[in-house]
Amino acid sequence: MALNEGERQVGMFGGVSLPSFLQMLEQERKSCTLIVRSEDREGRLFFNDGVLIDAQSLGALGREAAFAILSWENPALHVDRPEDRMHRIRQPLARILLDYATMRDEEGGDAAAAGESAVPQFDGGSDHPDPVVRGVARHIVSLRGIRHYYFLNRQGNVITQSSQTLKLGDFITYCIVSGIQMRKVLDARGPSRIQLVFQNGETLLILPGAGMIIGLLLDGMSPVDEIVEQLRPVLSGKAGPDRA
Amino acid sequence: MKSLLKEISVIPGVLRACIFAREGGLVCAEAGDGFPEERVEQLALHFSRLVQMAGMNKLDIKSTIFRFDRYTIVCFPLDRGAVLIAVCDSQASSSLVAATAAMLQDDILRELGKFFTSVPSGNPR
Repeated sequence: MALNEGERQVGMFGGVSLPSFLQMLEQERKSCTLIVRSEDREGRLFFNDGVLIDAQSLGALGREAAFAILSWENPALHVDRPEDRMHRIRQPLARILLDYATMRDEEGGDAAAAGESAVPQFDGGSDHPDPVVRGVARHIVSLRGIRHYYFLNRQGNVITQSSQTLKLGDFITYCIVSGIQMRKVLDARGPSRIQLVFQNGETLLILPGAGMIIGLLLDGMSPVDEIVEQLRPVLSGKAGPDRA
Repeated sequence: MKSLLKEISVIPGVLRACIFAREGGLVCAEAGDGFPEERVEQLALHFSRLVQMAGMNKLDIKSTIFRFDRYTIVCFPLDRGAVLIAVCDSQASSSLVAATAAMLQDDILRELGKFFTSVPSGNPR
């Protein structure tokens, strides 16, 4: 059940432990953003229909961020409207909580250390049957600055996309078609990359590949060249398929 | 307007910088003759269509960069369907071209406004 636009419930909750509150959101099948504050830190846990799909804190994302947030003492909780996020977390909440508790016990009860030393591990991505697609998606969700991904085949049909609401497949295909028409005018090869900056500050980066076309919606300040460099191994096929 | 375009065309690697109006007319061009105007006009047409398509998808384009093996094309939508196109070689700093064009955008729009008021509708030249 999503929070209505008009409600925009923003509230504080005291006397309830964070794990208990997370389980309540799961049981109530809530779609919301849980903002957690402790001292001068702030983290966000993103729920979609009761499923924890992503977390963000102090530069960390996904499971690593969730562990860090869970380690904070005396957290203040605020509930805000849901966000359309990439699924960086695929494990059930119970598994996240269990893993966190196990890790904390193993580290002698040093909760903060447990959160901070959590190995950056992204179990998110796509559940597409093709292991190559899953492998690329898994790599993409581990990168900072990417809001959503779109994978298209050479015919311009969407293979998979991370956004629940934003349909960009046809537009990405049109960009490729425009690029091909420009290529003919220029008598050149490519395009190897198309980059569109929108007025809202977001960037759509389109990377046509031999096997598929990848569209990435980036945050405003994302370093495009850096992201392309980080993606080079998977785009060239050197990273190998996902074996998870 | 020409002096504004010159600020873009002096950037190393920029082969040609042009502004085209919606009807396909050249408003202003600057820099070398190495890249024919007709070809820039065709690029402008393709970019104009892309801006239209973006609008249909509720996307408001600020700038685009197309990278090819020998060229990089930097495009900006302007007022009333006009577009700014910079044709660069592959070594040019496209981010610098884009930043310079963004910096000049207000001045270009002001000059473009004067141009549109001085030219009858449908006949941009």
